[in-house]
This record gives sequence, C-alpha cells and structure tokens, in this order.
Amino acid sequence: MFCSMSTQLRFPGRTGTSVVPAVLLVVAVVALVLAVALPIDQLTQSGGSVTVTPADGGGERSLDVAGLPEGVSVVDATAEARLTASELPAGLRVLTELPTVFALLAVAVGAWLLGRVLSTVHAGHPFDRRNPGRLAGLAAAVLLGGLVVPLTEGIVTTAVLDHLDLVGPGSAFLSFETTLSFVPVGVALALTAAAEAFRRGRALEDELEGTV
Amino acid sequence: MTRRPAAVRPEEDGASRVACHLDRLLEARGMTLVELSDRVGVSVVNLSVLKNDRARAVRFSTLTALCDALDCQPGDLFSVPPQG
Repeated sequence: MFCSMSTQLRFPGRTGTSVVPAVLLVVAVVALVLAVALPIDQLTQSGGSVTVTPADGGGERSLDVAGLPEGVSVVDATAEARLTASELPAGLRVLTELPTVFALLAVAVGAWLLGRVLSTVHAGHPFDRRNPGRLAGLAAAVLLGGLVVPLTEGIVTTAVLDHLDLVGPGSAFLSFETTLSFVPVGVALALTAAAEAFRRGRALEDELEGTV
Repeated sequence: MTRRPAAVRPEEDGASRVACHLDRLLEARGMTLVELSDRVGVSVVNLSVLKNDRARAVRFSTLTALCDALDCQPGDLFSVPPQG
C-alpha cells in the first residue's frame, strides 16, 4: 500500500495555539485589573495630567544631548505636551484616566476574545459557533481602542483646560484636537470579514457533518 | 389525462430513508469492518457511521472504493424503502 506523508508548516502551529491563549488570558486579566485600579489610584492623588497641543504648534525643540558627534543634532518634533495640574476636583481627576481605562478595556476584551478563538483552533474546532461573534467583538474592541480613546482624550483635555480657564481666544493650547487614524477601521473591517468567513465555515461544516 | 406524481421533498430534519446494507455485504464476503477500512481508506469510525445508517452523505469516491472492495454495485449497498 502506498503511503504518502506530507509535511506542512502550519501557522501558528499547535504550540502557538496552546501557549498564546494562556498569555492572552494573563494580558486580559492584568489589563482589567489596571482599568479598575488606575481611576481609584488617581482619586488618591490631588491633581492629574492630560495631553495638550500648544496653539503655536510647538515647533521643533532642539535637545542638548551629550556625546553627539559633530554635525549631529537631536530635536523634539512632537506637537504634543503633557500638562499637569497639581489640584483638580475628584471628578476631573478620575476623568483624566478615562482614555487609559478605555484603552485597557479594549485590550482586556480583545485579548480575551482572541484567546478564546485561538483556544478553539487548538482544540481542533476552528468553526466553533461562538467564534464569529468573538471576532465581531474583537473588531469592536479595536474600534474602541483606535477611535474612541483618541476622541475621549480630546474631550477630557478640553474639560481640564476649561476648568483651568485655559480655553477660548488667546489660549496657549488648542482646546480640542484629536488625531484619528484609519488603521483601526481597516483592522476592524478585516476582522468583520473574518467573522463572516468563520460563520460560513461553520455552515459548511454543518453541511459536511455525517459525510463519509 | 395523466396525473403528475406528488413532489418529493427532502426530509426536513435532514434525516433520510436510505438504508445501508454494509453489514450484510461484509458477512457475505467474509470481511470485517477493519479489513474493509484498510482496503478503502476510510476510517472504521466512518464506516461504522455508514453501517448504522447515521451517515448524512456519501462521497462518490467513498462509494466507488466500497463497490470495488466489496465487488458490488451501489444498489447492493443502499436501498430506499417505500414511504409510510
């Protein structure tokens, strides 16, 4: 009898699909704990900090770094700065951590859902009924982290600047500025397409069940 | 005027009335399920599913291999008893 063997490198392989879910579970738990702990910790502080954009655009700031060869210079080209207020009301103190909380929740949910999907792949059931929903949830987590977090940062910064009376004409800072990237939208769309593919895969698997 | 036969619909719950006579053929050929599995390249589990009328579909490749191994025709392997 002719016996054929095929060796095929599979990504991510059985080791990957068994180790990675455990790592993702740890990431999810840590992110969730931090999402709860950071606002509570911020309440124990007297002030808080937010990211601001100077109204004059900031410009490039030359940095004095020791040991640079001749003809080499270092500049800080970032347009953003960190504003720290030593005294803020409790509500605003918690609010300064809101973007970070949203980011951590996105990480926690995303890591958990991705870990569950990889677990089913490792168990040999990639077309588990719950995977399309999990991938859709992962897409939502990406949108939360990629779009909602920057928007929230802008809103929180405006709230803090307003409290410090640093908004309006003549303010040294831009009152509301946020940078949105289309990358999270692209990733979310790809995940949604993957969710649909998994749903159809499940339907095909159901059709083939009991076929000899 | 000829009457049209009533429309035949597939069983709505996915079950079918196809009966498999694999056990009868194995006995007639003096073959075991394991031996048949080795000859046709289908697992014993799947052959057992087929033999116990729990299969929902059979690939043509499987059907061909079974007929070759058992020296029979598809009609010897399967039949559909009358409805009712």
